[in-house]
Amino acid sequence: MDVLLAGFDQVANVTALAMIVVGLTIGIVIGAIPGLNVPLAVAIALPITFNLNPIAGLGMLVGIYKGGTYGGSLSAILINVPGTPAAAATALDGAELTRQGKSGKALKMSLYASIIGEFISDLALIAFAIPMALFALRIGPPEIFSLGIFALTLVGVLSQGNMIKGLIAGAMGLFLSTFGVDPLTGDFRLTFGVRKMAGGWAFIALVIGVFAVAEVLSVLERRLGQRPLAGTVRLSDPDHSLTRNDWRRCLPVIARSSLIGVFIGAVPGLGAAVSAYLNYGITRNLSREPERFGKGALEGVAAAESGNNAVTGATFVPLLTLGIPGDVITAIMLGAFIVHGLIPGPVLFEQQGDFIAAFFIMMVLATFLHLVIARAGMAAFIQTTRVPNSVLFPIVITLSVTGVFVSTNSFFDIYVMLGFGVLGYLMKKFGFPVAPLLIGFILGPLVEVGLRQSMIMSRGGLDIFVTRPISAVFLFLAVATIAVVAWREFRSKKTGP
Amino acid sequence: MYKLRQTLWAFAIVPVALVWSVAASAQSYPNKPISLIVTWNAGGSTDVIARLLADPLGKALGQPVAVANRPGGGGSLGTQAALDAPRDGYTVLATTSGNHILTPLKNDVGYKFDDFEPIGQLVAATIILAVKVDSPWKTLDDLIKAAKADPGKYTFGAVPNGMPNLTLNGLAKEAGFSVVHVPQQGGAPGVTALLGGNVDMLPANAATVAANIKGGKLRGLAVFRSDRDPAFPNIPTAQEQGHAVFGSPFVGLAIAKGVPQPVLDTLRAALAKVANDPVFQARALKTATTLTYLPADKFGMVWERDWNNYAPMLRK
Repeated sequence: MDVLLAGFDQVANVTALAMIVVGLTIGIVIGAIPGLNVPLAVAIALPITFNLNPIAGLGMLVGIYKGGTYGGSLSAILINVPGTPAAAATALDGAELTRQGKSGKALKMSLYASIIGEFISDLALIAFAIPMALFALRIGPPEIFSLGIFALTLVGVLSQGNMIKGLIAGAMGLFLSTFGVDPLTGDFRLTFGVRKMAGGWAFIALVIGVFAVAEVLSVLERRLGQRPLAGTVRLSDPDHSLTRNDWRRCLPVIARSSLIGVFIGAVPGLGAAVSAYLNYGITRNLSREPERFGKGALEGVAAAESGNNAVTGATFVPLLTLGIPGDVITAIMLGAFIVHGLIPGPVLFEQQGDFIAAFFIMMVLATFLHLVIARAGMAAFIQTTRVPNSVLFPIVITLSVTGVFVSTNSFFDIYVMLGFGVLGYLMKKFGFPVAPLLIGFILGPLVEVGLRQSMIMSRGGLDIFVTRPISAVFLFLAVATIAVVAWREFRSKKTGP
Repeated sequence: MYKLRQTLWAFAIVPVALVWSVAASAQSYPNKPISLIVTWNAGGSTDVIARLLADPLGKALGQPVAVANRPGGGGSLGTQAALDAPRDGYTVLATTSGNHILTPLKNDVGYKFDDFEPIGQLVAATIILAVKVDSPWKTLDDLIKAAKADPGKYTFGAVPNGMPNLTLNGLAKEAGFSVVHVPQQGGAPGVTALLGGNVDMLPANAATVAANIKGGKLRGLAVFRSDRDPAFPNIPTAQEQGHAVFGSPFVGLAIAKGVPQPVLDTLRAALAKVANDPVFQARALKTATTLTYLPADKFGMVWERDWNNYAPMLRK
């Protein structure tokens, strides 16, 4: 208790609070803007924190992280352009709700689901950091491979009713992820002698291309116009409010997705996007009315958003207890720790109790402030639905081009983005879902590296995937998912038209 | 007539003005912000040191220095970008053994180490061979004996063809044992694999394992330098234990050949000033990075030495 009080002292000062608020505000805006991404914002803000006290500096970075992970959902819901890769799952139902004039419902659910997810994640970090870290260490290459396979089967869930095209899109994503440097040998592959291809397809260029640019092209084809609604949008309108029934449907989903998100966050190398898709897929698969998904199911928004924000607290588990950054963002934050002479790891965690306590309090405080700031900002963001497309989409294109350039410092990647824009547009036009492409692209490296590392560990024996219990559980889930999807496809063929 | 005279004047003035402006810009270098390319991801050890350096270096030069991450292709994309930039001194490369020596030896990247001018070395990192603290191996000898008794039984984690990987290969060859390489995707995943028991040993940069060695979760069996690392005085060198194997990844600054000499001199002087500044040294020390500053000529010799050392292992 004394430790907590000492920690409270470090957080409860004007600088620390102000920096958290600044971080959250920047994060939400950056997250909402397609092209500008959270790792970039954290990297740019990093040197600022060198001159602040550690908790204030980390508060700002945590603010950006939490705000940015949530902010991506704003543009995903309002203009069908996910601001971050993790929000792409939110767009599936969120954008549909906007089309039905229920953007407020989606925005509110997205925020509340995010906050609950964050809060559960913070609590898990505070209460169970050490056991979670020990569990995370049991996730080795075979477990990563099996989890990746399970997540890939969810492409099938997402593609129900459009199975062949969905699987093609997923396979395309897997294939695109193999370009660049071979992760196990360091050789260049599929570069066709083009040296600029040595880095593979830039993730940010792919995401912005297939979502933002493709959306702009589709809107162009529909001849702009159409959209603007008359009058101010009021968040208190019934269409924009959450009913008791909405909560009844969504709360169990949020609880489950948050717990899964916490697990994903604690395992190094997975991340918010994996969690968002995994939870979206699981929720759809377990739903009694899977056919509502993709057509404006609020549970879809709740699953994706609680899933991706529940990662944000748990990612600090491996960082704080083992000194291992689990993703790009915590890797950058590691820099913010060490310039202050705080080397995260067992020593810091066990011996600097008051600092750790201050960090925990700061995390919870940031979650609370996140709710306040984002709720206040919502009324402003929702007005983008009134901006005519002829104004909105030129801005989106400009931001996309600048964002990709700022992130990659490469002109080549701008052309890559435009190329993927055309691909995404054609996919939409011919009825190929885009989400599986992104899932394949994200999971490809996990599955490949997991498989090849496991094969080296087992000297070529496949039994390693079933003799390790956690891996076996994931493979069982994968098989079960395939069975459920196949049964549903079979039934709908029978009863369908 | 009037027109002709004007034209003649113009012919006379333009070259003068050109010479003047070139001279002026050379004298006043730098007169705009300088970009410092980092060939690895934000948050990595190179990135952290580059970002620490950017501020004091900018002050020494009188212009801001902005870090630009250009990762990918084993560091080749960023290195190539530094070569493609105008040779005016406004694009500097934070170069490392990986992108500067190892990647161009292994892959067809279209550049060589001597396409660059050295500005100065900042860091020569220590490589530590670590095992879990509950491992039966207390010394390098224990490990070598076990590995010799069971060839191909034990595994090690390392980024493929990175300096730690090559150093362990060197040790295995020198001592005559064989262990299996489980390639890792970075320093942090390597530590995860070792702590999780998915590999048996890990050769790694000191910064990646420091927290867990000091925290009593990992044990360092050897460092691969000529003397002990002051930050880890209890870990003996491989040489002390009878195996003269060395490996030390560098981080330093370089710039594409063809930059005017005065610009080079300015950059070298600025880096020397920052590297010898106790405030900067203290800051770097906090990041578990001991600065090993070397001036340009010596840094150039390190390039040549490493290039020749590693060519036989990597060239196909």
